[in-house]
Amino acid sequence: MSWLTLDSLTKRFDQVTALDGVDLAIEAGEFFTILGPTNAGKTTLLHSVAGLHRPDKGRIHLAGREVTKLEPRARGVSLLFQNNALFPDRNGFDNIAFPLKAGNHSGQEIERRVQEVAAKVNVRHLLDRPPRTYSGGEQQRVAIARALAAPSDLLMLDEPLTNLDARLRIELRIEFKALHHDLGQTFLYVTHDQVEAISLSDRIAVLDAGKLQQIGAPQQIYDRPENRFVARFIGMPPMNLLPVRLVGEGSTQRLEGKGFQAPINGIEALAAYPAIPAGLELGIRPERIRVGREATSEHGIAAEVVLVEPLGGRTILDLSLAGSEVKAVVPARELYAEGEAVFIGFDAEPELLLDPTSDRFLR
Amino acid sequence: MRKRNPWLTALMRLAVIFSLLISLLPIFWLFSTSLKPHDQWAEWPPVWITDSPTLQNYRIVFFPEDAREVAAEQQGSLDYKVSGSAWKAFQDSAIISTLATLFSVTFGTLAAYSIVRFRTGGENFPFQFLTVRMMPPIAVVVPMVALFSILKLTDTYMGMILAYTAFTLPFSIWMIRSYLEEVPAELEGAAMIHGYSQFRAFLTVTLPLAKGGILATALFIFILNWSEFLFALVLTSGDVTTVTLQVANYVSASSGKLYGVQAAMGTISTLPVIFFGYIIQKHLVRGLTFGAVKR
Amino acid sequence: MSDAKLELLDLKKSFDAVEAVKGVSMTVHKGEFLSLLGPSGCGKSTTLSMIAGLEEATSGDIRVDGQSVVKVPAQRRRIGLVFQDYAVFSKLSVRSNLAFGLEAQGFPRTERRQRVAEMAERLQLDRILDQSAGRLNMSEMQRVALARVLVTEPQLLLLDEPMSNLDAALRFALRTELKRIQRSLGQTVLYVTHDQLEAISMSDRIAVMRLGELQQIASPEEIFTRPVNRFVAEFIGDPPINLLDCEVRRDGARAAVQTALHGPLDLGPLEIAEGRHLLGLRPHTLSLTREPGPGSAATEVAVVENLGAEHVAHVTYGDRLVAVTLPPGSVAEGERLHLSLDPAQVHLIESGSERVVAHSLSGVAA
Repeated sequence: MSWLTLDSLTKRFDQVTALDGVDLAIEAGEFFTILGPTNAGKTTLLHSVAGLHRPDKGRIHLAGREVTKLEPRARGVSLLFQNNALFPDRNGFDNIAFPLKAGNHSGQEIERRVQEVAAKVNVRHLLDRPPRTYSGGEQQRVAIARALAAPSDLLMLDEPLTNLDARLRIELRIEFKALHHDLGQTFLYVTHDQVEAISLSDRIAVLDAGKLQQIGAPQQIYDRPENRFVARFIGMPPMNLLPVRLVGEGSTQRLEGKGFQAPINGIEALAAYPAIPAGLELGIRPERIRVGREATSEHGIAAEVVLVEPLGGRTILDLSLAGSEVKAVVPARELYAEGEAVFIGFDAEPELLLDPTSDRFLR
Repeated sequence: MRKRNPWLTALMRLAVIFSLLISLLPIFWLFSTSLKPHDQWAEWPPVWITDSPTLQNYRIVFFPEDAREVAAEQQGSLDYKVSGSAWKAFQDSAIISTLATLFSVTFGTLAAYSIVRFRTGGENFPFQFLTVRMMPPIAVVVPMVALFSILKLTDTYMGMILAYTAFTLPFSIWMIRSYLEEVPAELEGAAMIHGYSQFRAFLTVTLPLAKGGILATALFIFILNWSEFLFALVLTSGDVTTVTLQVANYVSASSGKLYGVQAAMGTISTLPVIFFGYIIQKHLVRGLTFGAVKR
Repeated sequence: MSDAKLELLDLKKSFDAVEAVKGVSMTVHKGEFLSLLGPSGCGKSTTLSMIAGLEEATSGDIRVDGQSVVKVPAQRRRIGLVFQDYAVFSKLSVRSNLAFGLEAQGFPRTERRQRVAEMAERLQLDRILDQSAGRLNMSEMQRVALARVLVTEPQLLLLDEPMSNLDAALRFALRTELKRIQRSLGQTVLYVTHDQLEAISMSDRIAVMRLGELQQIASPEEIFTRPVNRFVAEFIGDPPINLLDCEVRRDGARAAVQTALHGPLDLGPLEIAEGRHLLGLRPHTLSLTREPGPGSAATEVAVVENLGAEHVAHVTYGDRLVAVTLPPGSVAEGERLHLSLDPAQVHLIESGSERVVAHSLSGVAA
């Protein structure tokens, strides 16, 4: 049995169902991320596991025991709140020492432990000052130190990087990864930023409106999304979904869309699909689209550049393909101008054919 | 910016000065009268500032026998007998006001916490109990007297304390609620995660952060209790008294019209109110807008 | 310049003893999308407030279309301002929101109706004109906030980090929309942000600020490939630029630089003192190959970071790690490879002044 399991977890607040029958199984030592847009239910999920409220339905098991009805302090978990929840009337040392004061530790032990954990996140110089004198990044670090102070089985982090400046986010992201590697604890991480999720996690659970969309390793979720929501939520820019139809017979089957035709890579895979609807959508990741100025076998489909969005090392091209919007990502050194006519090419993978009526990929 | 109409500004300034005069005039009169000798108390035209100030009125407040001197001088007889004792009035008022404030704030804090964290009573509950306080107290005076008689609470400390607690509780809850709302629930959550029960978290984390507001509320409630007259009047009959009643006693059948002494007692009684009011003035503005204005 | 829409001339702002803005001068051209980019406290919001008229400048001039507006009160400057979270009037209909500014400025009803209808069509709000503004999704809300301001035909549109509280995915979609709207209307826009990605993806030019001073004002491409100093080089770019310790040696007028693994690299004639400086290498300009190549150095992959569309390999470089961006799946942790740099994109940062004195090696056009 997995180390942390949620069975059919459901939680309602007045009329709103925040969590709708969520099933999760998390292994010990994993860096597991819950990813979803605002109001997907991520914080509710975390708070349920922490014990800050009772679920309406479902059960939670942690390290072999059922904790569904246990009070927070009996669960052995640690939670880093979204707005860090540092006690404003205490200084850094007292904040970090707080979890230790609840137990029976001697003053010496507390001192030692606080110094140890403060050194780990580099906040020893902040111990004698109150939180209001800290910068955003420093507040987060002290909050992390507090979350780590008392030994716990599970460290939960609720969007810890969301309220920070862009630069700080990148710095701390890398620190989190190192911290997880260092501590070996199980991390349950919540975020709306898919780049964070993909770069940090061992596995990701995508959540939307209280329902689980897909669970899997980052690369798997990226390459093989299960439904439209996941396909569009993961990836920056999101996956293109172009309406297509399957035309032809047998081995000459190909996909026909507005302004293009595409052969199917690995056409045998189609045979595995029970019933292929007439109208489909083809998923293409922007970085897999080849772009060039002349029509060649690599890129032969005519398109027009509508908008150019540089990202530094690479550039996003907003293209118009016979009226449909398509985004492609090209290396920065390839310079295209707005209004330029270009030619694009891409491979159609049968695994990325979407059924618009169910919004699920055919696989 | 549009140029301010100078006439409008002048008019507004005039209005402010006018209202200031109206509110400050009685206070000034009170203080001035407290220093007047007895022959100037009720003189017409009124003596605004006496030319022969005296502390006799204040002496009579604390040493009522001195009233006889005034009686002898004023009417040639020893007919003044001040009813009631200022000392007892101060003592009783102190006991009642302090204890009633304590109860009101304690229960108010617990109730406010329940409303803020658990939404007890539903969304409209705070408004509902506030409307209790909006009816004029005189409307319930008769039922209150009847109730207190049945419960044998008339003319007792406990009775007064209960009455005051009950009638100030809506204010307590309302004001403390707004202060508790400002303490994020996550702080308690953090405390609970790290080993505290919810109640202990409330005591050690939330309360210290709201203590400024709670103190301000306590002083506000104290001022209300101390200045209360109506229920003091109808629910007591001698064993228990208050400063408000004592002030009234100086103009009565037995005491005659000791305006000056009344003014003196009034002035002394106002001091705690002014003092506490000054301390909490910042918080008062907050409390008086009843949390309606979001920061 | 005839097409200068906004000019800031030595603009300064002090709050008591603190100098928030220390003499900023710049020009925004008609139809341009210019971002004010910098970390918290760099003075960008204060500068915006002064342009809008919400703060009084301590000294300096602000000119719109050649006319000084420093003494003109905010509501008469014809400058539109969109705040964080958009501040749409949720109790009014979309139509009332759009008409709001026009009503306040005293436009007659027929003209109000016409302008509102036109703008609503341009921003695709015509179908929800009568909906309550409290029930809009974020994209609609952004368009309503923009339309509300644009309908008064402002000279200049100012936006103060309007998207900072939104989901990453939403921000991305709204950015593209905002850009398209700006393009189609030809509206001059000044956009304040701390997010370098937002700035480089949307702007025609970026003004980078730090502690009240303008560091560099140039196109995103130029700021990225030719940053003027260390701050700009480090602030722009995700993953951030690798800054390596290096040693400069002179031979007459020519200078050469040596790092832990590369060099000596010829910088050509260059004015820089001998000694320790910093060499900046952008992750996407580095490449890893299985076979050694000209000028390559042996290295080992320590960590591979998965960022979805690309991966970042952190490879050993002397006693530290250097980040290299790669297409997904190309390398694995532990692999021994060869690291090459791009001679056209090498930034030498002079220690002390922290200025970037060279952007490429000798003989190569940067």
